[in-house]
Amino acid sequence: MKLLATKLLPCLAVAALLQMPQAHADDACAGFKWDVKHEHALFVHEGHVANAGKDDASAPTLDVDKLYLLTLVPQKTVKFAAPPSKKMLADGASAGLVHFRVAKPGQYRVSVDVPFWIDVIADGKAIASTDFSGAQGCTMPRKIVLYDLPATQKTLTVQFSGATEDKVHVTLTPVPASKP
Amino acid sequence: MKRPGGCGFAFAAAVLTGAVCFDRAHAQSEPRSAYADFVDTRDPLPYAALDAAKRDSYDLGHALLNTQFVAAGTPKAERRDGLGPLFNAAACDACHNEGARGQGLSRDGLAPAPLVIQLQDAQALAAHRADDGDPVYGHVLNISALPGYEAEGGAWVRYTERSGLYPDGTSWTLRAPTYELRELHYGPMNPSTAISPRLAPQLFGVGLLAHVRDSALAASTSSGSANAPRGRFGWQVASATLEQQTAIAMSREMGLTSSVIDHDDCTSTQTACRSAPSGGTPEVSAEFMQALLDFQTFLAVPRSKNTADDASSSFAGIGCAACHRPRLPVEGVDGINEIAAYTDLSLHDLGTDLADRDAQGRIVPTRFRTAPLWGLGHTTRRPLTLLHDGRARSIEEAILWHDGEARAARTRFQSLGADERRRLLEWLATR
Repeated sequence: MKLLATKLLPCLAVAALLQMPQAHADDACAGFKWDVKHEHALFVHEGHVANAGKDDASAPTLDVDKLYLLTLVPQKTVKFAAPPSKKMLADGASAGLVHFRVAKPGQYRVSVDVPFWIDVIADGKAIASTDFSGAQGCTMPRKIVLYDLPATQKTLTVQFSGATEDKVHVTLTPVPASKP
Repeated sequence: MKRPGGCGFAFAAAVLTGAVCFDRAHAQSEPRSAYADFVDTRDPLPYAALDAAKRDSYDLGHALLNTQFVAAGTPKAERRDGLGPLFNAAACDACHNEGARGQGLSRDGLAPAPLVIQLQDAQALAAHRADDGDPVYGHVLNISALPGYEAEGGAWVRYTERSGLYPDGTSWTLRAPTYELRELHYGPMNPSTAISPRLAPQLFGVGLLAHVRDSALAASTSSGSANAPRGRFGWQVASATLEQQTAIAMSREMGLTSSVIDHDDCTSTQTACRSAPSGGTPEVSAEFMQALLDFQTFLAVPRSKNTADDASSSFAGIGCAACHRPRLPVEGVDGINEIAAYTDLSLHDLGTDLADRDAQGRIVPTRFRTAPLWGLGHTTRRPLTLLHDGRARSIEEAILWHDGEARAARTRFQSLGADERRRLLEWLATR
């Protein structure tokens, strides 16, 4: 995986490393259906290093609006807080859990640079996402999932599953008012 | 492998108790239909009651649909390697999200993975022979590549608004797309190659389309043998069977080989592509292929949660039902004798505005399979991008684009009163 090497480079450089046409990949990074400048700005950083948990108890608590580089573990060793809501082969997959606390209810985005399946869990149940957007050929980020998150004093669990990479950059960001 | 949960887990208990394991959507007493109530869109249901083994295969097929394939030789990849080296998407689900039709662009931008740029020799397309791709780029413009390989390029889509008025003075707006191929990394494209943008169709109900009686279909328009099975899948009915259609998509859009097609869409000029490592022979095993076919064969059409006043008489009255046939006879399906797919599975000329262009911008005579309308009630859950290239942002826009053989029906739609138009559109949105 080339992600660590590419984090400090602009989108065009990422495209070159992936052997994608530069203009093509530049377009791809601008191809989200929302304004994602804020996420782009976070993804130019290295990210705070953390190990995702194998279960709810070992999951670290992360801060909103910061970029993290998570190390995941083999999916077959993970005890999920709730089964992944997307059925897919677990062959060679990595997985992991982290916690977030959100101070205010509202719309939040979970952004990742590798297309892991993402579930946000509250009280043992997956919260349905309200929308998603992706940009193939771009890793800053690659995929963004939108959630309406509730007001809660409890931590929310974010689960990653399904992809074979063992590291993922992730950030949870509040959606600016009037921008989905 | 971690098998997805499902009926199979209960099989042993069922045998012990003498019970038969049926899926959740269907009790034995219910009449069969093509539809099922999808409580969760991530759990698309079969239309039929499946025995344990078939339900396991269906669930495996569903899991495979969602699985991201990776490059041959990827550590730990186990059975999911073989992607590429050139491809459009790493998972079927990227274009057929949980069986739904692909999502096109909402504004100007790079054609996303579900909007596949098919490449066909223009003369072959006009003659309904779909086997001749571009000599350099093959049958599909592959927008992605594994590290170490060059993607073929991309297509930038730009929309131009056009507007008009109904006879009653109500205004309408359409958006007409133009396509600019960018960063073609393998040299010039053949000038006579037709650029055919095609949005990934829904998978709902496709298994039942395979069972439509041949006698109910118009004579084949392909140039193939008179004894060859009639094509019924794909925007140009190029495939006679689901297996063929699935194998083509895997080969051309994911770079995955199967027992049906043992090669990727690499042309003779793409030497690196042709010599790329293989993920197995074939890369999609017979078990996986069968599971993908079982998933598609039994996948139901999601029943719309909305209701609307019956506008079927308007639909028929203005001529839509002549091609979007509300009843098609099927055979070989236990308990189902006809389906309401709203298609005739036949090709029609819909006018030059919808026709493809070649690499020099010249119009290529193009005929399209009548798009099945069932499942529209599910599609309306998201922003709509309808027609073969996703240009229509509403059912109304899709109708207004109809021309050629459908011009008279479209004109009659425009002549309806505003209330009747609205009722018809609301009814269509619940199909």
